[in-house]
Amino acid sequence: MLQPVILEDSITIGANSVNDNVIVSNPSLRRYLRSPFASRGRLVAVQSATGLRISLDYGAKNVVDNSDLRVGSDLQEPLDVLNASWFPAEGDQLVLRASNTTGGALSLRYRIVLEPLAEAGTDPSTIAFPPDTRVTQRGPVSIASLAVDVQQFSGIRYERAPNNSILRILMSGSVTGLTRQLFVDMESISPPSAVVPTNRVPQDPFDSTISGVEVEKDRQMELSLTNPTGGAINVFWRMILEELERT
Amino acid sequence: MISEQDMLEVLATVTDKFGGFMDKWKAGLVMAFRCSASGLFYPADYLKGYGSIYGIGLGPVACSESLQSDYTTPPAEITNLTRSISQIMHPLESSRAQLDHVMISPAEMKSATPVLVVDDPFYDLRAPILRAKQLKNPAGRIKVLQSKFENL
Repeated sequence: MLQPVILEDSITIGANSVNDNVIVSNPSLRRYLRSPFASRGRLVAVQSATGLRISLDYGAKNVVDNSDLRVGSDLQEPLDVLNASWFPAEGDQLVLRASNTTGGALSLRYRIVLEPLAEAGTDPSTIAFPPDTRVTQRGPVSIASLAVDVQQFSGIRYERAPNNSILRILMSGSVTGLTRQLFVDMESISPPSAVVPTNRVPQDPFDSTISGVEVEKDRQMELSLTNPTGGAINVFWRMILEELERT
Repeated sequence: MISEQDMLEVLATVTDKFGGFMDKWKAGLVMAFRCSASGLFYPADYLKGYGSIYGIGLGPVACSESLQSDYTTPPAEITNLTRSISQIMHPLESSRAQLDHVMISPAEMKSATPVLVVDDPFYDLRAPILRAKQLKNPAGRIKVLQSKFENL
């Protein structure tokens, strides 16, 4: 019988500190540091107040990069699912890293669900692993009054697609007035369009704004924001790259 | 045509049904929003500025941005990377509490004015205030850790 493994914990990240792997901070969860079988992973996470960033790697592959989270004390599935489509092989190490750059301690509440693709001990060459999805989520990011074409993906890990992928973007603004454009290299995918003022970390699928964009490997993505209003506006976005082949 | 005096009287009649607003206004009271979790008074423009300068990221429904301590989650462990005991405390959380509209005196407002998120995005001002409360609270566990850190 194939049973899932479900890890859930709430952990404090001290002020101005980094926890390199929150899973090992809980002695009861240490035995699941490595995926016990080939599986489909799902990460759900919230933070107690703004200021935490998390990354998730399995084996040598990053699937959630330096991402901000919703502020809350309860995990709401599916709204707080950050990435539900990553596929570690048996024995791949899970690394959930959390950093707190603020002067106050904050807590991270997370759930990692590993749904088995095959029984433990199965020859990995006989398992058809699906391609992974890579996610980056940021917000609040302040866009100054009268700012034009502020680039959101500049310098992040996935500014260029690491593999042939389908791009989705979810967005939310703190108030009305922000417009966004998306370019893939020189190609204009989305002309200046309004960002919904829901003032929250994006919820999938409600805050989905751009989807189905084909991005070839190494092509640059630019999410450009303009704030024509008289006051600063905060923006929240999530970039989802669904890879087309397993790497 | 209705005179200005008549207009004011009509307004006073209507607003009196909402708790004698005119009387309170004449008495020098000011509008504020009281956080039902912390008792702090947020300024009268809290709803107008919600999402732009207040309550950033807390969703479309206005709620309090005040912080409170979560005593159910233990503080982070002291490790060899801990540089200061001020890093160790119970986690802070956004209360997201209900806000109540109140009319209060300016002195009362001044006595319980919160530090706004927009003025303290990295908790440099608010964390020491809450840490001091955690040290006094019997549910807090950081007092023990403080002496442990001092004896390292």
